[in-house]
This record gives sequence, structure tokens and C-alpha cells, in this order.
Amino acid sequence: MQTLNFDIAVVGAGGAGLRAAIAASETRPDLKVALVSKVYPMRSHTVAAEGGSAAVQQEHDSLELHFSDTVSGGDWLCEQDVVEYFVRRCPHEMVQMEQWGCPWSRKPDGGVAVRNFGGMKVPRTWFAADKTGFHMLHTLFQTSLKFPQIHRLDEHFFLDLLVEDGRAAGIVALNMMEGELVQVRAGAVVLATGGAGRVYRYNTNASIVTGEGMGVAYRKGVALRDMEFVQYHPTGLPGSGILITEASRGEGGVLLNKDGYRYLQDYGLGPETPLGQPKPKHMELGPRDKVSQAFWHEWRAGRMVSTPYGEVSLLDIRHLGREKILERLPFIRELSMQYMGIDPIDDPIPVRPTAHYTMGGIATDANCETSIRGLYAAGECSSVGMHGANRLGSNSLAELLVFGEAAGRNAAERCGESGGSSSSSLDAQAGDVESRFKALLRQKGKEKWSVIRDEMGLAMEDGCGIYRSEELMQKTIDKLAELQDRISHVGVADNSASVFNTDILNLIEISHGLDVAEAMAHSAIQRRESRGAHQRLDEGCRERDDENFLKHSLAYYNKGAAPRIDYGPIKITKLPPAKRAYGAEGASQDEKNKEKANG
Amino acid sequence: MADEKKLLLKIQRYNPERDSAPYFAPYEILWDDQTSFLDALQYLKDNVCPDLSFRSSCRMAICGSCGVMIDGVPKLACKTFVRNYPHGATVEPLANFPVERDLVVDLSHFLEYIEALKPYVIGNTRSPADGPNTQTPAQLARYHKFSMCINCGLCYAACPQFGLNPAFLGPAAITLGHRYNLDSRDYGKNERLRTMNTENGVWSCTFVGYCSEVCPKHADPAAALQQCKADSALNFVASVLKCKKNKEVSHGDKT
Amino acid sequence: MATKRKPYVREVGCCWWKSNPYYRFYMLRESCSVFTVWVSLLLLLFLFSPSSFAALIRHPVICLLNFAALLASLLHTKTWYDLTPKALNLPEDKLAAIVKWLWVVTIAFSALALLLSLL
Repeated sequence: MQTLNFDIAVVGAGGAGLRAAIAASETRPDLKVALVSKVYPMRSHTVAAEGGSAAVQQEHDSLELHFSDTVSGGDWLCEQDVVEYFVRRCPHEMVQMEQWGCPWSRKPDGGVAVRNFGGMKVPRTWFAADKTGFHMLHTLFQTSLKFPQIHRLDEHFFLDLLVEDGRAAGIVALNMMEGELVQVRAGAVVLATGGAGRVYRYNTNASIVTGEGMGVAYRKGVALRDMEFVQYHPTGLPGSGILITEASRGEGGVLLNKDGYRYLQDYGLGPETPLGQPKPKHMELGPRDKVSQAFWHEWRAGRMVSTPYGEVSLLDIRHLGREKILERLPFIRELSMQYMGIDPIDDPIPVRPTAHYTMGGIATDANCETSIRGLYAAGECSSVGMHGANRLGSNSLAELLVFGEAAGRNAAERCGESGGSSSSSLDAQAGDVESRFKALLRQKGKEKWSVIRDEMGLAMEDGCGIYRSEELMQKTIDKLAELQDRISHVGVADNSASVFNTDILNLIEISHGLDVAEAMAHSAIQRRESRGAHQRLDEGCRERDDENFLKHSLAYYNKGAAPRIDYGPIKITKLPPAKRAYGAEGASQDEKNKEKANG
Repeated sequence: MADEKKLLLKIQRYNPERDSAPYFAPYEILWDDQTSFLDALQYLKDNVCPDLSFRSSCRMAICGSCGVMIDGVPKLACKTFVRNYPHGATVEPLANFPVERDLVVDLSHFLEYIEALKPYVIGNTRSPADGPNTQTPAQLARYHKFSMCINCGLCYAACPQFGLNPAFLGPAAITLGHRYNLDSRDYGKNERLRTMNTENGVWSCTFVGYCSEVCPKHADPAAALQQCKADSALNFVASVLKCKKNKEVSHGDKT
Repeated sequence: MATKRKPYVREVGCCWWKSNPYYRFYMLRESCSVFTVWVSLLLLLFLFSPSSFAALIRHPVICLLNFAALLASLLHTKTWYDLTPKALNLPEDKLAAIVKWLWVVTIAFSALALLLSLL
């Protein structure tokens, strides 16, 4: 096995990974940084983000407003000191992106334009038309080429962590093209491996978003925090699940049921706002959890439109006019035309909620460090504590930058203090990874990973969807346990090939996915309340319960058994829990708060 | 899948550890009106041949992973629909790249060429504390089209000059360099022109134009190449004039 | 450690352009240059020996060749005008106008040249 020596290993080369690698290189230019990814950086899922990235920019906006939007949007399950740091750093990071060449959309005077987004009180979402993630990822990737100390290991699949005396000491990866394992030694490791949306069948995520980064850390004993909170994006294309950006509502698009009625007004988001005059935190600019939940109720009431690909609501942007659609939402138009055969200039787009984002992830402290010293996590794979129970749109691209930077910088400072791991012990660990990998290649059986993947996806949708109940979650838990047993009987068909063997990699991805799914389901069933994206229908669990559940859930891996669920405290600095309100009620609440603050 | 129909695809297979050369194998797929070629490949991997290797990620034509030749034309598999091929189709790995396995090609040279063109802002000394640069919508429009490249490599598969001369930096890499040359925030044009204005740079291009035809994002690499040729020529003239002037100046110094 | 990779390189043969209509048209476009050479030779002949040029020019085969050269140059002009705007980084609507004007100027100039030669 090849051994490579680096100071820092960054796993994952999406927005957070690239930002971390750049930050590490800027903090300590003498360091050697390995940037490891199972795909080329520009294939990372950051590329698919559309709407924009939040940072306070306008005169009449403030860090306090961004803070309170984020904390109330997260239904008070956020780490408030982390959110304070986040909102403070966002403007810096967005300007930094600008100076690295990100083609932000502009105002006529050459200043950066911002747009409305769901749950945000003031327009503060920076955007590059409706391909913000694409432009950010490419800007970061291209900027990373400036740094000779960043060594990319493209198409290297992350198999395991090396841990020595409770310290991260490197990773083991599979060079996919060669089919050989590589030991990457490093004084600090940053995980930026993305979410796990693919454990759901119907989702907006790229096929690579399978959660093995979370899975590896989890198996090493790091807690997965707040895993029950999985965001359903209200507007995905039926059939494929392809994302239709929230920016289409930010720009003024409306959601209709089959009667052409803007149903959100019946779900605490009203009163109806005039067409073409979107109002922050009202109607279609409500937070994603509420908008998806409203869909569910309308669907149950039989007021959605039936299509061969399921029940849908209609996203109407026709009134924006051709010119604005072409300027602000060209990709949405292209996607609708390509994948639905519908031109949104002439017809409304059929949409439905689809699994989108894992709010939870690898538990870290405010410095992005996990319980393993020198092991950091950033981006969707992590839970630094900023999204709470529901993430606001455009906070995740910003998170990649803010916490990617922090993780990279902190890792650069940490990597030098390593006690000098013993080479033979690391070799032994890596050898162990190799023998497990080889054993898996030889695994025989009648099961197929594709079947297990599909059954897992369906089970997660049934039990851990927009609304949950004890009974359905239990069924999902039982199913996942059954699948855990069956996955050891998957026969590896491609058992002799080394070069680009994706059969074995799919199996590894799904086996980690199953662990992550179990963490989600068990965290969910034990949270006996409704909060943010975790909504329960069973008796006694329909309301938020701050007395018993204003705390983070922590799932710990238990080999061969159900995960152990523990809880950790929430840090509240300045915004005590209150009722989470939008629409007219939210507006009057804001007024009262203002009076209180002034009086 | 609603309303499933059957269709025959011929897919090029190649396992370097077993085969001496690639060959075509027929596969029957199930499809409906929404089925893309990527869906078809995934259907085969799930149900028929788990050992079929191909790249994929976003499945919405923005990540650039799944470029293949469909009936000899470079396409993104995720954005090409089976419904448009009622009589079946052949699927091959992207042309002009070495085949590593099945539909997976070696893109390492392409990545090196991107790097060679220095696609990042050069010479701008602003720091975040100074606030963002000003850039008007018109200044943005000058390079915006060329920033749409998703690095899928279809243009390289479409370029016969790259096929004949793999050292040609190629359409996408040069387009990316040009994108920064045109950016009002960048001052690195002369540095990049040193790489562009070479035999394996823009002058390998004979303006076949097929690269722009197959580009799934309408980034128009052929236009970028021609503009770079003009820039390179002007740069050459300017450097000759400057050289002459410098000579005169140094003469003046002596006398 | 021996690699298990064995990248297969597909050779590009000399007939690569036959496989694709786009390439075939490109070759047609490029082959217009043969006729340009022909017309240049003819003009050189005119320069050095006007009498033999006058005799040659009436030959039916030469007439046919010249007619082909005219078609080729028209085709080349069209492709040139279609593609040249790409070298200019201008908004789409301006480019369309430029191409239109190129044609207007070409036709006007050709008409003028024809008129002068007939006078």
C-alpha cells in the first residue's frame, strides 16, 4: 500500500472542502494539504445549489436580524454563539468570493445584488443568477489551483480514518482508477463529505450524496447530532426530484393547488400577498419546513394535481415575465423544459416536496473540531449547530464558506502539535482496512445492493418523511435492522476488477447509508415532540416541548445493534425560545419585540 | 416508471484486466418518456450488469460527470432522453480520451490543461476589508457566457484537432482562461497569453466549430478560441512595437 | 507495484472526418481554398501573359472551373460571415446586425466591381 505524508488531509472537495484547503494554505503556506475526493471537485454536490448564499449586505439589514431569522428558523435548536459567529463572518466570506472572481449578479451601479429568500426578514441572499452553487464551486476550485501546496487526490474514495491515541492521524482511501489503497498520513483531518440525502428514495441530491463521510466518523465513535432533522425542499420536480430553486419564490413565484388557490395562506403564512409583490416571511417566503408541511396537508385533503409521477402542486412564475425569468431563473427554465417538457414562461411548473438536506451531522464544537482531537468537520456532513431543527435557504452555501474556512484554519494550527504517531501502528490500522476491503470484494450472497438501497429509501420516506408517527417510525427501524442483516449477504459481482470498480463502492456507500439512516430513525423516534423539520402526528408529540427536548440528540454507533441515543445541551446567548411565527402573526410578534427593545 | 417500453442499447464495454480491446454489447432497457440515458445506464447497473462502470453525480446537467458518445455524438447522458432514439442507440466513452474502463475515460490531461491556463484572478490587490469590486452588468456580460463551462469534456470529444494532437490545450481550458482575461477584476491576461499564444495553444485550433455545437451549456468555446487568437495576434504586434521602442530608448541612452 | 490500468487509445485515422456531417461540412469549407489557389494561378497568368489568359478563359472546362470557384467562394464567404462574429465579444443583437451589414457591403462591392468591369 502506498503511503503519502501530508500535514492536513481534507476529505471532500465541494464548497466546504475547497474552502478549508484554501484556508489551511493561507494560514500556514508551508503546509502540505491533501484534498481527497471520490469525484473531481467540480462534480461535488455544491454545484447543484441554485438560489444563493446569505450575508447581510444592505443598509437597513443587520447581523441581529440575520441571527434571529436563523435561530427562529431553526426552531431554537441552534447553538447561538455559533450562529453569532456565522452571521458575522458571512459578509467577509461573500466579499472574499467576489474577489476570487465569483460572478455574482449585479445591480446597474455595479454593486452586488441580493434577493429575497424563505424565512429571511430582509433580502440578503447573494446570487449568481440561479446557478450560485455552480459558480461558487468553480470559483473555489479554480482559486485552489493557485496554491501549489494543495495536492488533489481526485477520484480517491474515503474508506476509513486513522486514529492514534484519540488523535486523527490520517485516512485510508481507495485510488479508484488504480484499484489500490492509499494511506494518507496527516496531523489533522477535515471531513467535508456532504450530506446523506440519498438514503431517501426521492431527493434533490446528486447520486454521490451517500453519507459515508458521516458513516466513517460515526463508526469511529463520533456522535451524529440532530440526525432526525431532515429537510424536505418544497419544490422538486416530480419523478426525478430535481431541485427547483426557492429563488423562484424569492423572485415572486407562487404555489397553487389544483383549484389555482394559494394554499399557504391557510397554514399560518398568510395573509395572501399581492401577485408580484413577495413579502419576506409571508406566504411563499415562509421557511421550507412549513411550506412542505402545508403541501402534505393539501395533498391529504385531495387538493393536489394528479400526475403519472405522483401528486403535485403548481409553481407559477409566469407573471414574472419572460425577461426576468431569462435573467434571474434561466436554469430553472432549462430544467423544466428538459426534464418536464414545460416552459415556465407559458405554464406553471409541477413540483412536490423532496428530501433535500440533513440539518444534523458529525457533532463538532464551535471550532468545527469533533470529539477526536485533530478531526474537523464542515459543511453538510457536520453539525456545528447552526441550523437547528430547520435550515433556512441560502444559509448552507454561506455555511460552507464560513465553517470551511474555520475548519481549515483551525486544522492548520492543530496539525503541528501531533505527538508523532508511530508508523507501525498506523500501518497496522491501514492494513486492517485493506483486509476488510479485500474481504468485502470476495463477499458472496444472493442480495443486491440496489434492492437494499431502494428499500431503505422507501422505508425512510414512509417513517421519516414530512410527518412522522411512532408506528411508522418503528416500522422503518425494523426495516433498517432487517436491511443491516441482509447487506452482509450482498454478492459482489465485480469481484475481480480493480480499475474503477463502482460495484464495490456502491455497496460501501449503501452500508454507510444504512448506519446513517438508523441514526436518523432512532433519533427521530426518541424525540417525542414536534420541532422544525421533525413533525409528529402521534398523541402528545404534536407540539414543541422545550421542557424536555430543548436539547441536541446525539446518536452513537453500536456495532451490530441499534444506535445509542443521548442528549446534549443547547447554548442560548441572546434569543430565548419563543413561539415561531410567520405571516401576519410573525409580523405582529416582531413589532412587539421592537417595542420591548425600545421601551 | 409509468408506461414502460423496451429498447436495445449497444454499450461499449472494456475491462482492462480482461479485454485486449473494447467491444460492443447489446442490452435491453425499460424506459418511459422521462428516462434519460443516465437512468438507462443506472437501470442496467442495478438490474443487469453491476460491473458496468460509468461516472455520474448530479443527474441535472450541471456537474459534467456523465459525458458519453451517443450514436457518435458527444452528449451528457443525464440530459439526453431515450425517447428521442426510438430505434435504439450506441453508447461509447467520450472520444479522443484514453478509455480506462467501459464508459470511463482518463481526464487527467484535461485537468492539467485547465490548471495551465491559470483560471483565477491575478494581480488584484483588494482584500475583503476593502469591500467588493464594482462590476457593472455590462462588464459581467462580457465574460458571463464563458463562465458557464461545466468541464464535462464534450468539446474535447468533439474537437478533431485534440484527437490528432492530444497536446492541444483544447476548447474548455482556453475558454476558462479567456473568461478571466475578460473579467474586469483580473490583470493576468498577459500571463495567460504566454500559454495561449503557442502552437499547442490557440493556434492548434482550425475553427471546426463543433465544440460550440455540442456544448451542453452554450459556453461557446469556439468563440472564446477565436477571440483569444485575436488577442494573441494583437499582443504579438504590441510586443514587437514595444520591443522596437525599447531598442530606440536604449539607443538613445547610449548616445 | 504494477498498475492494472491499460488505457485504450482509439486511433484517429485519416478518414476521421467522414463519420460526422459536421466534420464533412468543415472539410468542404476548408477545401474551398483549392479554388482560391486556382483563381490566384489564373490571375498570375493574366499578369505575365494576358494573351494566353484571354485564350484560356474561354475554354468550357475553364468556365466550369471558374463557376465552381465562384460557388466555393460564395460558400466560404457565407461560413466566414457566420463564424467571424464569434471573434468579436459583442451582444447577440449587435452581432446579427454586423453580419447583415457585412452582406450588404459585399453585395454592394460586388455589384460595383461588376459595373466597372462592364463599362
